[in-house]
This record gives sequence, C-alpha cells and structure tokens, in this order.
Amino acid sequence: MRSKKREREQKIEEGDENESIEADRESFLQAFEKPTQIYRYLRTRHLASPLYLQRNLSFMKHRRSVTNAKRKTCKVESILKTAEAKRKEPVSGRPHLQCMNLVFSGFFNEQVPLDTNEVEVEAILMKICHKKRKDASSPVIQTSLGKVRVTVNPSSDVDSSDTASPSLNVSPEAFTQNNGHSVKSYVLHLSVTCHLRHSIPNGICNGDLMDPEEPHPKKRKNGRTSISLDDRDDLIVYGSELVVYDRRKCCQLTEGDYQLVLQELGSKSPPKKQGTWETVLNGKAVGPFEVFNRCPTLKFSLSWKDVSSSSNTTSGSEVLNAYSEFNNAQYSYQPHFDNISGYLSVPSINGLKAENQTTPRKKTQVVYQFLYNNNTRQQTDAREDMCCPWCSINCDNLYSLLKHLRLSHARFNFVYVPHSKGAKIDVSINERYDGSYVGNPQDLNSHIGYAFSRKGPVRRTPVTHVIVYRPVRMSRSLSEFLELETDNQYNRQLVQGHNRLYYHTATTLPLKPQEIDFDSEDESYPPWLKQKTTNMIDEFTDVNEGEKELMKLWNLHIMKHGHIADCQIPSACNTFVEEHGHYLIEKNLCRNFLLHMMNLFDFSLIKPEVVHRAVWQLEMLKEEIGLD
Amino acid sequence: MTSVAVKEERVDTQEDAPEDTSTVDSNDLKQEVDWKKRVRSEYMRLRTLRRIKHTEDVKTVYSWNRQQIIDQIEEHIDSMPRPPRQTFHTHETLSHTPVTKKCEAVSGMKDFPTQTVSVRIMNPLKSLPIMYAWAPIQQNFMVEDETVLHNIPYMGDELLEKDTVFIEELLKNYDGKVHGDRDRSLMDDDFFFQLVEALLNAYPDEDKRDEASESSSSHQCNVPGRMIFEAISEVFPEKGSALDLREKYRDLLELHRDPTTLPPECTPSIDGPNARSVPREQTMHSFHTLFCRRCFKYDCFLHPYHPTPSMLTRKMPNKKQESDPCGPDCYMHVIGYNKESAASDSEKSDKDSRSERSRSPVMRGKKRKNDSAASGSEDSNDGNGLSHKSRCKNLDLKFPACKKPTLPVWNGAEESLFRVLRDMHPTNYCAISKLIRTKNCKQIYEFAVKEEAHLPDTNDDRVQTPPRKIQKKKKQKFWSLHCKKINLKKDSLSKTVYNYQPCDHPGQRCDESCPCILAQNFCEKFCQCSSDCQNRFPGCRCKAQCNTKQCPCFLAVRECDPDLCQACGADQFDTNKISCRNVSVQRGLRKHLLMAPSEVAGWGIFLKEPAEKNEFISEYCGEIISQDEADRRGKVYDKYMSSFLFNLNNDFVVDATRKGNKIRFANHSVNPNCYAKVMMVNGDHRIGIFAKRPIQAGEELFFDYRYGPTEQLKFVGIERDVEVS
Repeated sequence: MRSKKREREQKIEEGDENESIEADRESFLQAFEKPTQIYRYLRTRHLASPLYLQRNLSFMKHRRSVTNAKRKTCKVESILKTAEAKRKEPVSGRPHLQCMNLVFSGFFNEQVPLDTNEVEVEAILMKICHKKRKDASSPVIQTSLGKVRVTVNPSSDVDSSDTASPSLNVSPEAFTQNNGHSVKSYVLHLSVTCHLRHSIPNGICNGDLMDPEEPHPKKRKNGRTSISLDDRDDLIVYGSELVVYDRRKCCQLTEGDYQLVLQELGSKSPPKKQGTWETVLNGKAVGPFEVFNRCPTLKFSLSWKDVSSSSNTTSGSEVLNAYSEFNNAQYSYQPHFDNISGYLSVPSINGLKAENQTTPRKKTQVVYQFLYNNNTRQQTDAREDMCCPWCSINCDNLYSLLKHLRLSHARFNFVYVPHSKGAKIDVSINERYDGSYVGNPQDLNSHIGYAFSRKGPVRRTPVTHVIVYRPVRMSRSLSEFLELETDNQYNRQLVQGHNRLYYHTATTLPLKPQEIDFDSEDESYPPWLKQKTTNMIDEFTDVNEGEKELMKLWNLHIMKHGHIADCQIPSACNTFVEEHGHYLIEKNLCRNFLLHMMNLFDFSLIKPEVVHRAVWQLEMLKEEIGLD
Repeated sequence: MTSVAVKEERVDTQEDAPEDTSTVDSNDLKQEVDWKKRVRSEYMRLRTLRRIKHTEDVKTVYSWNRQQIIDQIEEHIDSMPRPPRQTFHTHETLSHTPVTKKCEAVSGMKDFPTQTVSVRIMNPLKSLPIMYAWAPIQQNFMVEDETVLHNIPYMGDELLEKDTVFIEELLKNYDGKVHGDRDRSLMDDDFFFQLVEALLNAYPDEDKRDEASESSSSHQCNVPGRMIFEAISEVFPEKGSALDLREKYRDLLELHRDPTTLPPECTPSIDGPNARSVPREQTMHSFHTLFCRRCFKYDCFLHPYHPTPSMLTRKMPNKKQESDPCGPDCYMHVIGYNKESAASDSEKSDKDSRSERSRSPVMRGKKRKNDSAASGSEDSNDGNGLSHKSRCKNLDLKFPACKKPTLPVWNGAEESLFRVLRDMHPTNYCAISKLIRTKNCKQIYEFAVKEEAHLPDTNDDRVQTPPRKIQKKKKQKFWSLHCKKINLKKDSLSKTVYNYQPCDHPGQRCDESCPCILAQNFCEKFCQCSSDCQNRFPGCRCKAQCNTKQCPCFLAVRECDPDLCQACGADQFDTNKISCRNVSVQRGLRKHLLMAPSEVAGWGIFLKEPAEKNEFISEYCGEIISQDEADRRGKVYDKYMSSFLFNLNNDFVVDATRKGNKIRFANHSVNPNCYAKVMMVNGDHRIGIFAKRPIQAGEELFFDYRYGPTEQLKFVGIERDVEVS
C-alpha cells in the first residue's frame, strides 16, 4: 500500500492534520496492510499465470465461458466430418478472398519524447520470392499499403471506439500480385516514423515525461546515433515485421488485438534472430512481458473481412495492463482504495462519506467498511462494479462477490450489511486465521530430499478420488453473510476419509502412498516372535538337541499356518513332512519326528493312520533322495 | 560402582599381593590372610574382565540389531512396488509466502564478495507425539510377575525431586529390588570355576606344596588344595563350606573336560549315536511336558502349565487287525499266533482302567537355565496297559522296501522306539515294524516276548460306548439342557469371570469340586474329563451367521469352536465363504488399521476400509499379567498418564504397553464408535474390539476404557476437563 503511505507523507508535508488522526491511520495500516499485500501479490501472480479455476466454482457459474450445450447433440460420427470441414476451410482460398483490416489504436513510447501527438505509420507488404539463381539473394518485392497517422500515447480512458481510429484496408489483390515471381512468403512490415522536436540544449521540457532515474542523455544519444532512414536528425524510424503467409501459404496473422514491439531500424541485433525464447534488450535478459514496457509499442487490431469495413476495436486489453503492473513489481496500483475519503477515530457512523455521485445509476453500490482497533471504522468510496478489490475478479453479482470474499480471503472477516443504495461490507481481521497448511499432508514431508526424483506418473493420496462431491446446497441468499462464520461452518470437514498423513507403527516414519495398502501387522507371528520361540526352546537344559530341533521346526510350522483347531492337525502333519521332510532327513531327525507324531497321538489329536501316513511320506521322500 | 573404581581397587590389591607372597613362609596365620587377599584380588580382576566382556557383548548385539533393522527397512523398501507409483510433489506455488528472506555471508576478508542466497521457508511441521518402544504381537503373551523393578521410571527431573514418596512406594512394591542391583552375589558356577582356575594359575607353587602335604586328595591330581577353597569359603560365606566347594569344583571339572556330556536328567537324542534304551515315559518326557495341547506348540507363549496327556481318549485304531500276515516272514507264521489270541481274556472296562490309572512317580518338569522356578511336579502318566480295543489296520500305504538288512541286534534307539510304538499297536508287530523300519515284525515279536510285554489281543467285540442311537438322543438332551443353563447363567449375572484352566480330576465326574464348575466355566475339549461330560459346552448347530442371540455360542459370549460347531462352517478353513461370523478373533480377521496423530490426544488409530456395525475390528493383544502385577505396573502407568491395561477376567489383565498391536492406540471416548467384548475363544479369554456403529474409512477409533459404571478412569485430558467444569 505504498500509495497510502505516500498519501500520508503528503499529508505530513501539508502539516494540517492533528496527531490522533495520524495514529489512527497508523493502526489502520497495521491491521490491514499485510494481508492486503499478500492478497495483492497472489492476485498479480494469478494474472501472470492464471489457473482458470474460478470458472468451476458453483457461485461463479456466470463466468463460465464454455457451455456444454453441444455435448448432448454431439455424435461420434460427426467428429470426423467437422474435422474435415475445418481442414478444407483454409484451403478454400480464404487469403485471396478476404481483405485485411488494420485499425491502429495508438503508438506507445514512454522513453523517447516525441514532439508531436501523432506519428506516421506506414504499412509495407514485402513479398519474398523464390530464388531464381543460386548466387542471387531472394528477390523481395515491396509494396506500400498506405500510411496513416496514429496518436502517440493515447490515454487509456479515451474510448477508442468513439473517435475514428485510423485504419488501413489491404485488398486481397495485394497478396496476389507477383510479377511473374513465385512468392515464397508475405511479410507485413510496419514502420513508424517519429518527428523529434529539435533538441533544446538543456532539455528541460523533456523532464516531465521521463523517469528521473533513467540515464536519459545516454538513451537519447543511442536513439540519435542510430541511423534513420531519411538521414535527418529529427526523425526516428521504428519498425517491425509480421509474417502474414508463410512458406506453406498458411495464414499466420489471425484476427485479434496486437501489441507490437518496435525496434529502431538499424539497431544491430534484431531480436528475432535470437535463438532463445528470452527477450534480450541491450544485452540484458528481460522478463517475458517487460519488453512491452521498455520498447515502443504499436497497438492495432487486425481482422479479416470479406468487405473492408472500419470496425471498431476494443481498447488495450486488461490483461496487458495486469502484466505491466506485475512486471513493474511495484504495488502502487490498487485504484480502489486510493481514495478513502475519510476516517474517524470514534465509533461514529459512516460520517465522512459524503462523496457525491455525479452519475447516480441503478447499479448496486458496494461500500467497504474497515473495522479495526476496537471498533474504529473507515469507509471506502462506493464502488459500482462487483470486482473483488483484492484480486479484481469480476464477480458480477453481490452474492458471488460475498461468497468469493469469504472463501478466498480468509484472512478477513466479511459481514454483509444491507444498505439503502446497495451493500455495505464490514471488513475486519480474522483473528482465527492461522495460516495452517491445508494441502496434501504428504507434501509436507515428501519435499525433503526428493528434488528431481519424480519421473513418470505418480500416485497421490487416496483423498484425490473424491472428485465429485455434490452436497445439498442451501439456496443462495444474502442472509448467510449477515453473520460471522460460525464454528461448525468453520471447522467443517468436507472430505471424510484419509486426509491425514499416516505413520509406520514401528518406526513412526511417514507412510508413503504406495505403502498404504500394505499392512505392517499382517503377519500373525512377527519375526521376533519366531526368534523368541526358538530361543525359549534352546534355553532348556534337559531337552536333547534332536528334540529341540524338531520342536522348533514344528512350532514355526504351526505359526506359519496359524492352526487353531484339532481338526487341522492331521493335515498340518502332512504339510509338515512336505515342507520340512528334506530337512528332517538331512538333519537325521526322523525318529524324533516319529516320537513327535506319537506325542500328538498321545494327546489324542491324531489317529494312528495319520502317524503311518506321515512316516510313509517321509520314507517316500527318502527313497526319492536315494537314502536308506 | 563404576568400572574405573573397580580398576583402581584391582591395582591396589595387586600391588599388595607380591608383598604378601614374600612373607608366606613366615606365618601360618599370615598365609591364610594372604590367600584371602589373593582370592579377593582375583575375584576383582575376573569381575572387571567379565564386565568388559559384557559391555562388548552388549555392543555387538546392539550393532547387530541395528544392522538387522536397517536391512529390514531396506528390504521393505525394495519389496514396495516402485515403477507406477511415486510420491507426487506439488509445485511450491502452494506456499503462502513468496521468497523474500535472504541469507547473507559476509566475509571479514577484504575484497571477498558477500554471498547471498534466498531462504526458502518450509512449512512448519507438527512434532509427533511421543511413542515408547513396543513389540508387535497378534496374540496374547503370558508373562510372569516381576519380582524386581525393571527400572526406576523417569518422568522429568522435577518429579524426581518433588515426588520421592512415589519412587519409595514403588520400590516397596518390589521389596526394594531393582534390576541390576545384585552385584554382591555375582558368583555362579561358571564364575566359581574361573576363579579357582585363575588362582591355580597365578600361584602354582604354593598350591603344589599344599597338595603334597595333603595326600588324601591325591587321586585327583588336578583338584587344587584345600587352602584355596577355604579362602573362597571365607570370602564368600554364602557359598558353603570348603568341602562343598571342592566337590562342586570336581563336578565342574568333569563337565569342562567333556563338554558333550549332557546333564543327567537329559535323555540323549533318539536319532543320535548315544541313544539309550529307556522306558517309554522317559523317551516321551520332553514332548509330553512341553507340548501345549491348546496351542499345538511346544513351550507356548500363552499357557505356562501344560497338563500331560490323559491318553484315555486317544484315538485308537478303529479297524480290526488284519488277520493276514504281512509277508512270508511275518511273525504270524512262526508261532501259533491265533491260538494265543483266542485265549486272551484280560478285559478291562473303562472304569477299571480309569481307576487303575495311577499317579506315576513325580517327574521333574522341564527346566530352563535361567528359570529357577521350575514348574512343580507335573503328572506324567504312564500309559501302559490301558484300554486297547482294536488294532491298527494295515494302511494301504506301500512303504518302500528296506534295503538294509535288518540286524538281529537291538540298539538303544530301537528299543526305546518299540516301547513308544507298542502303545499304539499293542500286538500289531507288522505295523510297528513299518514304523521302526530297521526291524522286521518277527524280530519285534521276539523282542516283545523277551520284554514280557506281549499282551494278547483283547476281545474285539467289546463295546466301548453305548449304541449310536442312544448316544445321539442323549446328546440332544444335553444340548437342550445346556441352553437352559446358559440362560440361567446369564440371569444370575455373575459379574466375575474366571480364567479357564483345563480340569484334571481322574476318576471323578465333573461335579461341585471340579475347578471348571467352581469357576463357572464350561469344560472344554482340553479338559481331561470324558467327552460326554455334563459341563461341556456342546457347540452350536446354527445354519446362519451365529451373530444373534439365537446362537448358543454367541449367547455365551464364545466364538464358535471349529471342533464343536460344524453346521455353521466354523470348521471350514479353506474358504472364506462360510456363513459363521463368529470366528473372527480366532482367525485374526482384523481390519487394516493406520496410525496417525490423534485428533484428541497423542497417537490415534484410523480405519482404512469402512466397517459395518458389529463387525470385528481387531483383537486387543498384549502381555497377560496377573492382577497383582497389573496393580504394580498400573502405579507407574497412572503417573505417566498413559495406560494400556485392560481387564481380561478376574485373574488376568492384558497389558499392551510392551507388547501389543495397533489397536492399542485407540483412544478413550464416552461416545465411542467401538466396543470391547471379552470372549471365550477356544478356551482362552480374548478381547475383541467391534464396531459400535457403521464406521467410515479414515475415521479414528475410540472405545470406552472404563472398567465399570462406577470406576471411571479418564485418560484423555479433554474429557477430564469437561467433567470438572
């Protein structure tokens, strides 16, 4: 909120305010400055790399630009047809039938002062033809398409639709004349000729327009030394080229608004020869959109029309403004709060809000009232649009605005107060906002030591499968914003399930998603217990080695299979021989095994048949091995 | 005493020792003093050595364990499926704050540039709750009472200073005995032997002279003189007189000379070369005493006292012996066998045999090295001459032919084996021969005659049980009677549940004196009483899921017994599609649980898959300890404010502190989603945790810890506060 600070400084300079107001202002800033800056930062970042998720929000339905209406009628068979139709379209000679319409909205150049309000823009069509001979360079045919005068640095508030913007029509014939040469590609060359005022020795008159920090004499010199076409001292020619049709006769210039970065003609390294995507200006890399601020630009809109017409163009897009703001890296905008009209230190009513509206319209007005410092209040001017003041998303209606404010700006509390002219929104700091992490719990731990280790598709936590969630929604009414959010609203847990990070029971290490299906306690007999039983048997002093060995084997066998019933024992005997028969023979434990079987018989767990069968199995095994 | 102190002491005594030896001859009295000093110094030296060795052992074991753990973790990581699933890392744009902070390193050197790097702020991580080490277990584990305090519990410095009364009381519970306190009497046989050897080696001259003077003991040239033992006896009076010590040393010497000799009570392995010919009960002694009939394991974890087999109910071969000889060399050809068998008249009724079954001479229970408390006198029944009604049928198994010629000479192993097998096949020498393998039936028959153990076959036609029909009717009567009884039991509302112990009162019906009836338990299949005992639980005949009170098992808070309940499919193990739902605890059909920090207190346990109402979640497993032990342990746990004790029955408590499973992390709540039920599962009381209501996946599990309606224990801080306010 630099603007506010500045404002304050100015006030101090004026020296007309008393101390209490200053203190109040300080506390206001203390309360709201930090969260506002955070939201502002997020907003600009979002503008630079938008997520478009707003469209999916149920309360922002009106912002949805894509409709699903066609889905119902869509048939699979028709897809091919439409695709084919689309493909035929450009072949059908569109470039030769339509004429190009260029509407120039302005020439923007902040750095080099110009003496006139208008510059001359000349459009030249260059036709690059195929070479006829090897040694010769490709013949280029230039045809001038016309000259227009364009205003310099038109103010943004001027609606360009009102005034007649200079426009150029290029007839389709221009693209066909080729004088016997086969044309390889068409290039539109736009050059801007600026008349400079004759330099006044002290250069005072330029001071206002220039950034005082810029090393302006040097720049100017740079500009001067560059060769201008007319070889005159007071002329600077900027130019840039756009490919209209490339080698394959594909139209590269589609309809739309263009902001063209112009280079001084004659500068040494034209940027288009650079191999990288980065824009380089004077040897320094600049940000993706910074070049628009540094270099002179020409704005125009291009359209293809069957009949030439002077269509109106829209003014410079808002997106570009956002870019410039973002790249300025100064939070000096925020037009909405700039004019806080007054502030009171007493719990009085919105007293000083006496700004009279010049054009009272039917639109609802929104007033933001900031509450801070024990019921101190401050109000903004009434706003007529439904844009969020923090992130400038146009919410279109009041309900959406309020919903957006509550959901996206949780650092504040918003309470809606109906107002005669529209709405008043009480803004206060949300004391309960703790900034705690609400994302995937896995990410908290997994960031550490895993940089660049990701390759291929990955599995996320099981929460992700809850994609479709259709709760019973309350009907939309503004009354839900009349109260502060209550506890149960606040703590609501929409996702039932595994929205937490689990840990291994033995090590308390975080459980990775791929390990979640694996039960670490699936084993009824963990390894330590198996070790324990062998240890316990080993501890006996009056049990001989053969018995010990056999008892251990048997115990492990029972543990492995988890036998729990008498009726399982006969089969357990059989599997015992199957699994451990070789070991029994190898370790010479056959008679001990027979004793063990007799023991089971003594405990009336098995019948003699089972004893016989087990011994038989063992004998067969011996036979197999070739012993005995 | 630290090892440093000991070392100093040792040095002192060693300095003294040579001084004394120089004056040996001068005085007899002094000589004795000299020997005493020597004994002391050697004792100290050996003890230090031993201590160092012990520390080394501990270290090696520790590092071995560590390696084991590391290997396990690596193995676990390797076993995890890798390629398709990897952790997903969201881009850091999710973080709330931009990277604004910078870290700077300013050098004091001239011309050295200041280096900066931006600081990335990581999200704060909540510290995990404390967890003390525990061992995973899925079945209860019985442990003995602890007579010494394992360690003095540490609960922070302030408590140690403030609350000394608590520690004192705790020590009083253990008679002041703390683990590792018993340094004074560190003198076992091994150590004693080492001490004598060391003395002998250190001072050989005097010893020889000593020995020469004492001619009486010269027959054992290696046994040292009287002086040493006298000195030892004086230094360690609790070890007995010099003569005792001498005898002991002689025994030990013998043992050390031939380490392969087994203790006298141990029978050599029947497969080994030293197998001896011993009576049947001696051969089978280890097996009989160690086998747990309830766990089917030897020396099981759960039942410390195993009754020996009754051998009355053995499943005797139910087919008559084939009258055909097994081959041309069969013993039946040799003598007029049939004639003899016809003359048999030694019939014994069931009753007779039962009364005849006498208590055999008391045999020692198996004892463990470190276990001084041997399990008293267990009865080992000699099974000779009991009811043998039928002979084994010759199984239709074609045994491979014996290649080795059978030697007529009997060795120890064969003789012992014959005595064991004779019980199963009293006169069927063909069958025995098949099992022994190294003797043919003729040889066995001859041996049996020599042993005078050849009992003629008893009458085959004798009926052991009443006809089938009657039996069935009777059973049905029992069953209805039991159902009434169960209801009666329920009505009487016996609050106390006693632990089940198989009854063993030979020759007596299960009446008022039977421990099962006294404890208001049913007799189980493990009891020594007959299978038609009135007190036996008959099992259910449900064809449904056994999860309503229609099922007598469910009504009696028992799980279906796979050996009793067949109609419900409790005996089907191969398929999961059995109708019975009352077997979850015994089969371990637990739910997959996941551990995470609780939403209430400490750690919590969460359900991975949803569960229906009354569905089995998990068994609450742990160490089974006596009520007294639980009182002692509980004192410490209450101080720690974390207890894993769970009352099992009147006699025992389950403690999941040291051993347990994941359900131990379930927290207490007065409004829980689970409930606990103590069930009789195949003779053991076990705690099942069941769903009180339908539980969704990812829900934390709670159950009510309270012991009873009056005795409320509040473990979770939040609830305690609620109660107070």
